[in-house]
Amino acid sequence: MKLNSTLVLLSLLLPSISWAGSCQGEKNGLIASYELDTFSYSESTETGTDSTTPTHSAFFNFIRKNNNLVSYQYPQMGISKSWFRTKNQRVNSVHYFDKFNRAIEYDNADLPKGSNDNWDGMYPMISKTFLNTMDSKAATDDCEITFKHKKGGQSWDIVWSESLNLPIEMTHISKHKKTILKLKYFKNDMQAVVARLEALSAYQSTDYADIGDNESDPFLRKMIRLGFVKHEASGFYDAQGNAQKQDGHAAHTH
Amino acid sequence: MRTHKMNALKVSALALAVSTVLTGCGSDDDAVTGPNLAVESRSIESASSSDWYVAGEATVNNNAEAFANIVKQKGMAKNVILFVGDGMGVSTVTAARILAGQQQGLSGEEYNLSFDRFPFSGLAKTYNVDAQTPDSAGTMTAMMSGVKTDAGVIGVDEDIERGTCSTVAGNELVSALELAEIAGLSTGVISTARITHATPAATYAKSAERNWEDSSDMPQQAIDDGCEDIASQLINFESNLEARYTGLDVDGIEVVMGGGRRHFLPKDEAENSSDASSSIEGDRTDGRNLVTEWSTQYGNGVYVMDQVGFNAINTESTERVFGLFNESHMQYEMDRGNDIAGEPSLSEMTEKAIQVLDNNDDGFLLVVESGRIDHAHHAGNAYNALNDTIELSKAVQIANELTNDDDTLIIVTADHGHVFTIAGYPKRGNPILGKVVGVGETEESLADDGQPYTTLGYTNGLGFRNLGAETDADASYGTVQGDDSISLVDASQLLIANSSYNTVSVTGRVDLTTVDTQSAGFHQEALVPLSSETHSGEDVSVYAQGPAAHLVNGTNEQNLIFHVMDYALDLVSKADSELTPQ
Repeated sequence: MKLNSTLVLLSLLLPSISWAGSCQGEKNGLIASYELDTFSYSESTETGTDSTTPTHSAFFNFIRKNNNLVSYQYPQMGISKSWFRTKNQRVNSVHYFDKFNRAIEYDNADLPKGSNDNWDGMYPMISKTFLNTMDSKAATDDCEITFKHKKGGQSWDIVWSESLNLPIEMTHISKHKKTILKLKYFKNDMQAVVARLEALSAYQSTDYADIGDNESDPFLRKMIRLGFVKHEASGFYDAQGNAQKQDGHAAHTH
Repeated sequence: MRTHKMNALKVSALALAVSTVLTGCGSDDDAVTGPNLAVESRSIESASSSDWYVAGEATVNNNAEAFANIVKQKGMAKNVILFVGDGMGVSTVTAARILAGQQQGLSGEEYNLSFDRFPFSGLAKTYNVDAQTPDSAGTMTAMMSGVKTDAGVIGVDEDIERGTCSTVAGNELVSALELAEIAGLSTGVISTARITHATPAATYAKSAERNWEDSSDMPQQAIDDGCEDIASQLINFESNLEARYTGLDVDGIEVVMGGGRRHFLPKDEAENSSDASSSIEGDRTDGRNLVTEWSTQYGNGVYVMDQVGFNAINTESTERVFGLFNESHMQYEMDRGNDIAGEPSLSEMTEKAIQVLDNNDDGFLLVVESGRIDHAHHAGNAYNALNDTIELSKAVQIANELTNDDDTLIIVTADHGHVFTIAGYPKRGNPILGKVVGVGETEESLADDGQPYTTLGYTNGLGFRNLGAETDADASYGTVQGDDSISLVDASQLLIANSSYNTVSVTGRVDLTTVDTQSAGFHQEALVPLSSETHSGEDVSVYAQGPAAHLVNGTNEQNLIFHVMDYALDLVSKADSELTPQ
């Protein structure tokens, strides 16, 4: 928590980012702070948004210890999610809940099918494979690459840092939503990375496979009440598992 | 054809019934001529040609012979093996039996798991002293110590207060494994769960809380009050047992194999094994490396942590084995190929354990747990629950082949059941993991909502998940109902976080028309939305073979199992004689 607060403070003090140096910069022991704003979107307006005020604004910290361990930290929610790649290229995860000093460990066993493939996306935040499928790619100075892509009613504009192996900025537009992701701050500091990860690992953890034998645990019950496990209401779903409203139209699933 | 023959038997039975009714009417003519006797005779003749009739008759004869030949005297067994399918309720056994048969190209229903063929069986009432629907800690304590106790506690009686260390002293129970040690038998514990998990722990530990698996899991108060974590109790089993009885000298547990390496290693990345699945494998915060301590304590012992090491064990020359094959639970049988360093199956561990333990001419006591049937059910995934049950059946078969019925009592049971059902009216041979197709039909049956439904289902839990070919049942817990920008692979993580949840129960009806419900990743529908499917409170089956197996019959309290093992080995008397000054 202390480190997150520091990052938030620093992000306010640093107005801009300068991308000097080689593309071969240090990619490990990295802490990066991002801002994520979501706007309602309409093609009919000149700016594409109904308002300059985001409907939802969040920030998060991205921590990369090495090629096999990254962590996404959401201070507003008091949640962190670390992802670890094993020797046989499978991915495990631990979700940390700051308020309770508790964690839930997800073996690869506990994760959705495809999680192993997603390391390509977890490590640099946006999958290199996905970037390589984009419609246009333009390299700029200072190791930046601009990607543009449109598909299925969605569009992406991404400024990518080869030095950090991370996005600097991304604008994603889908049907009625525009999401802007901006890198606000970064630093290489392995000591700070290790300290933060060690602080998290001190939380009391429960294997997700063991939840069924520990439902009397007040923390787990609280997680359910808080919506960590949420129950759908309609009771009708299509073949893909999408919730349907009573009139048969797909309901928003979260 | 089988259906036809079954109908023939029913017809003959009906004819017998009609005959009886007519006779009962008191017709003089009937009494004189006795026409119904002729009908009866023909009916029996017809029935006796039925495969069902022949098989039933043979079974009765075999059972009569088995009962006559069974060793009934107390203390006549040399070895006892207790198999526990964690969460393997009656419906799980039935469905696994059908699946096993269907995997061999049969209809399935007529197939028998290895322990289905055991000559004796009964039912066990599973409730804990304080719980109608039990947990593994209380039930396994009952089976191992002969005394029912509260849910959540290990090896202590009901006077304990769960989670309060200070209430342990004076309430400890003696387990069958400890008695066997005292009596000079070799002993072993195997599990596909963490070896410190509730079921295996109840064989060797005393704890006010099942979750105190290592020092980091315990509140400081419990440590200050002198309670020892479960992993440490396993390593110190020999000295702890000796400390309880003046002059006692035992040699400790010969075979320990399972998962749970994290509870034996210090929280230090430098101590990670090559099988680590976390950045820091060990959880212990007291700095102890219990694997090293075990190796120091037992210089003649062999520690293994992967398939290669396991395969290299020479069972004839190895006196003692300690195997920790996974950081946490071992893999589901169908997911075993995905293990990092490779790990043995339950049947392989059972075989190896018996081959090591039977080097003791005085006999052995082995406890084998299939620990992940329970986890698959909690995840709402019948596929892995049933396949792990089939693997348990294979382990029992191997145990049966490696031992002698005259001197080895084998008991197979469960600690509790799950809210798992076999429902609808599927026709004979319908895929047990499939959707219901009615008798005489080729199209899927439809419910009143116009949608097909599966034979297998759960009363509660997370409900429908379709993870395709995913073999890991627990994958369902992490399933995310993603946003429409999910293709942004890890921007999706942001959306997951911002959506404030990561798992959605999908209870109620699902359109399964295009869903392959037989795939590994399919998770059955559930009625009541819960974060995890629950145990059930009904009785579980107990199967037995060997000396004293005849005592497994009727409906009994679950703690009876300890007393059957005690009767077979005369454990208490033997242990007492070792403790009594000569």
